[in-house]
Amino acid sequence: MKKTVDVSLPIGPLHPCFKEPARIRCETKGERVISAEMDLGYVKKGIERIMRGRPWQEVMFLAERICGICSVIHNMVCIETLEKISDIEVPERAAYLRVIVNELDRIQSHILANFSYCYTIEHETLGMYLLNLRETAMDMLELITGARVTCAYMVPGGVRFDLRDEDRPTLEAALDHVEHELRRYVGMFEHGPLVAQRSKGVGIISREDVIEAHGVGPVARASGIPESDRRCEHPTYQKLGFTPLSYEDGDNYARVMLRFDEVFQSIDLIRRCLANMVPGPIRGGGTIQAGEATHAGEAPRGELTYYVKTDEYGRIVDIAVRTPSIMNIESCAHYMLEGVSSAADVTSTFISADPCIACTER
Amino acid sequence: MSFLQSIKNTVRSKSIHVSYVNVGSCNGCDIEVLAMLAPRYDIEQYGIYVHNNPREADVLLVTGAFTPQWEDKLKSIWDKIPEPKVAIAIGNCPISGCVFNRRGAYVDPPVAKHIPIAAEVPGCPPRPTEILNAVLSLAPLVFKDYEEKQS
Amino acid sequence: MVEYLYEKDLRGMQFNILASTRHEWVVAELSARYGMRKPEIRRRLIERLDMILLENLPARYEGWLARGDAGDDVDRALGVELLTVYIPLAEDTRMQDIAEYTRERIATDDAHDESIAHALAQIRELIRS
Repeated sequence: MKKTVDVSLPIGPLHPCFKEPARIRCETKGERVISAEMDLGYVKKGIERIMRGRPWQEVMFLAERICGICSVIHNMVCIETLEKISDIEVPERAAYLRVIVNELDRIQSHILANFSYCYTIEHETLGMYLLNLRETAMDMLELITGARVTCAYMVPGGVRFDLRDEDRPTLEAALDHVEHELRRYVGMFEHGPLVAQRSKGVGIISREDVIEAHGVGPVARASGIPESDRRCEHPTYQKLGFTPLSYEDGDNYARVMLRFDEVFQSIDLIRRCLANMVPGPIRGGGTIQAGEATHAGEAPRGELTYYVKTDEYGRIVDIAVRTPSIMNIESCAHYMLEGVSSAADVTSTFISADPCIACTER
Repeated sequence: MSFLQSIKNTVRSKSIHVSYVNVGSCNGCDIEVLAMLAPRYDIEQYGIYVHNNPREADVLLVTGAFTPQWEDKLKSIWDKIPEPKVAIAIGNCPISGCVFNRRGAYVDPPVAKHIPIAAEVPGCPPRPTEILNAVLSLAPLVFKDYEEKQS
Repeated sequence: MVEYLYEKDLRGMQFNILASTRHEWVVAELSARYGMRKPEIRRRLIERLDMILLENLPARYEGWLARGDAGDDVDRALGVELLTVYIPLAEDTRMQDIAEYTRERIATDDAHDESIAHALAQIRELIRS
């Protein structure tokens, strides 16, 4: 009889499936993964250290460069924290515009995450369809904010640009296009036999484990914790009648399907914003005061928390950012990867948690 | 020009394999490189194929300000790429460090200190079309008549 | 020709992770709770935890504050789940033994504070071992 050999299997830091450098060390028995550890530090830039002692005008731009995929939500939470410190009110139209841009960002981020997953399970056709669809969402972001990625759209007291009336039909047409096309792709994903075999029952994380590792966002919601969505506490989302979605299974399939469902939900939210919006000012006034505050928002990957302390000149004295990927990668490395039955499933499980190393290390 | 060289020129002009490495960027440039894969830009009509394997790459796209962890690794990745090869810096970070090049940061730009960079595409981040344009305009300069230029 | 390309000493990077505001707070809380000096806590954390767990330290500690060791005063005072589940620095069985012994001692002698202090000293040794 052959002996089963225990192998330590390193994956990364440069791996065809990973967008960013990360290293997973898997302890395997045969091909079954017994435990996994992560090595990080490949993109640690020390952004929080640079931010300290700088005026908020500079910190605002540094904040959105924490993560290039979800830069809008970093901008939004940073600005909302500053507004919370200084009691600055946002005009109604600006609040709706913020939600529109944030949801467009969520659409492109979720589609990109599902593209990465399809690419990792070698379903390249579906991946390319999704990536092409993402460009439509990016065009709409560019139409409203003027830039594709780091757009610095929100400023304390409002937003920088208005949505012109002549651009509204373009936005609505793009939303219809994304919804129509994505329904087709979701059907392909749901009914593809290859997809189901590679995804269902792989990388399961239970509700208790998510709570223990403090998992957030799609990882938590796919394991049956819908209340983890911070959008429920946001006043504008409450006005729009937002209710979070959830799945019960907690496997790769549930996480990917949840992201697809959230894209449809985001499209619905943008439509409701467009219906509710009335013409008005988009930018109020205000001065950044001294004080400190903690504020959380829902990034595409989960709960994003900013703690900011300012002085009377509007400089940032202390700042601490807790990004969602930290908790999600941890729940992936220590709970999902345990008991994964082959080395090929390690990468797909890791990608299904939508890791963002740039967020994690800052 | 020898017959062999002309065959090599033809083949190389229609087959450019691209690999990318993130040495400490914010992800913005990486996803623009990924967005370049989208059917809208259709890079495969130019014979460009993106996959992350330095062993079979011709062009290395470097994104990000340089973090200390990469000091030995980037050089070894560069050495693994077979000749003829070329490295392109994508975004402001590998050129100057962009917003991260401040006192207290852990970064050590520019990347040109560590491996030879042939072209730079500034922008934070540059558009996918600009990245594509850089690859397409640089590749013939380096790969055409490579063996004859060497001798 | 064998080169250990990626097996680098990562302690510098791990220390950088522990330098942030929230991590500093967690290290201070742990050091106050178990009466150990901060550099020592940091050293033990770096030795025993991998990098993503180090990054997640504040969230896990907050999770323990909210939910961990619910229902038992002795467990809460000693932080049994804190050291075995949330921030795994100590061995599970030894930790349970200490908690069990302390619970018995409180039930028989009724010297609550003394027993807890004795148990904390034992846990300190356990973390150092």
